[in-house]
Amino acid sequence: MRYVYGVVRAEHPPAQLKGVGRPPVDVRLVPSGPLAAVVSDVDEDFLVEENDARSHVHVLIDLLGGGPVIPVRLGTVAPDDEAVCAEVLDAARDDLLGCIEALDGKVELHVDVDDNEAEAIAAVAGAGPLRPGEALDVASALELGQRVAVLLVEHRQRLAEEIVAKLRPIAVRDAPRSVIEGPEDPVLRWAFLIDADDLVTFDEAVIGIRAAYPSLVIRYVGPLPAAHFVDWRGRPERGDEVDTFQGNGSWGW
Amino acid sequence: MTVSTQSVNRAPRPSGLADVLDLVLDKGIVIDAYVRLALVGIEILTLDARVVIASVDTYLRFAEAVNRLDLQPHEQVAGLPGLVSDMQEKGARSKTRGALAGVTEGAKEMASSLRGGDDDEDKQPARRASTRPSRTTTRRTRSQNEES
Repeated sequence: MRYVYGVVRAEHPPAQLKGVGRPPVDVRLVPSGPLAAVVSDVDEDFLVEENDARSHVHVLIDLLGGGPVIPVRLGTVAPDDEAVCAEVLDAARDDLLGCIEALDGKVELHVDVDDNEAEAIAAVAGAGPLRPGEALDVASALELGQRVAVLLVEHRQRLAEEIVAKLRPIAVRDAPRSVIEGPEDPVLRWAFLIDADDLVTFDEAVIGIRAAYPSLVIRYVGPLPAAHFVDWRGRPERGDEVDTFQGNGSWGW
Repeated sequence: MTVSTQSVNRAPRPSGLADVLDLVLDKGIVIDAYVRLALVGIEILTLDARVVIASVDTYLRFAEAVNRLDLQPHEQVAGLPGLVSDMQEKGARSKTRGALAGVTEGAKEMASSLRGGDDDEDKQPARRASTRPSRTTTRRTRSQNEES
């Protein structure tokens, strides 16, 4: 069987990393016309495990240095190289070429922001008249907690909007990666598609945000394959997704 | 391309499994026909990804956090001080409303245990994950052909 990681141009340099399965084996390109599928051999009964998910992503990241990469969904396998060519590369050649062109020179970055809950609550609540340790009855505590929750969500949403507003001008597109709406949700989970040439500028912007919000924990990851910005005609409907905070780009999938 | 440029504050790879899956589990192009999905086990790992919903526990934790704010006199930052005193006036006659009514009894125990002061908010960020459950938890059959 062939495990399929992604699609690249036929002349793309091969991946250096090993692929999925135990033991991991070499990753190679199966070219057909202007495109090539990135594959490795797996057993007939191969099933994806956690390690394989990581390998899949790591191979895509590794390939990114050599040009645009279209990710293929985790766990995609084909019987042989011929099937990969016929079912993947040839069947969707025009769409794939369009995707490749659109992603050329662009990379995805993730910015994840969390706060310290106690500090955030202090920020929205200020000092109350309660003495430490003084007990509210349960009904009052619940009501207080609900009001705090509303303030907390508003507070986080404000922060999220401020942070996205600082980064969005550098990005080509951006999109939320997670529905954020409740008091247990983080401040931000966001994907940005940028021109690779703007990476340093984006880095500096993130450094600036870290300096401006020292109490926030900001995770910044990339460059990644543009998984959230692949425009594919076959994509499933997203009508059931509800976003409280829309990006300027459409959802990838 | 400058993609290999690394900066000290940027991680080259996602670290958590949820962040890994965020890139490939329900993303990436989907191919029909002979090609199939060989997934199993992963969904179990992702079940925990976003089971985070607001609950009675959440609200009591927040109330407790407010309760623990110290009394240093400083600027009244937001509307909450007034909000708390408003609540104290209502005091004992206050009733939980709507969906909360049925859980008040159980909540009392939780409330008293929370007043013991365990610091469970410290671990909150670690439980956060970015995958959306409705998608990630449904793809659990071995070889379904879901894009028709």
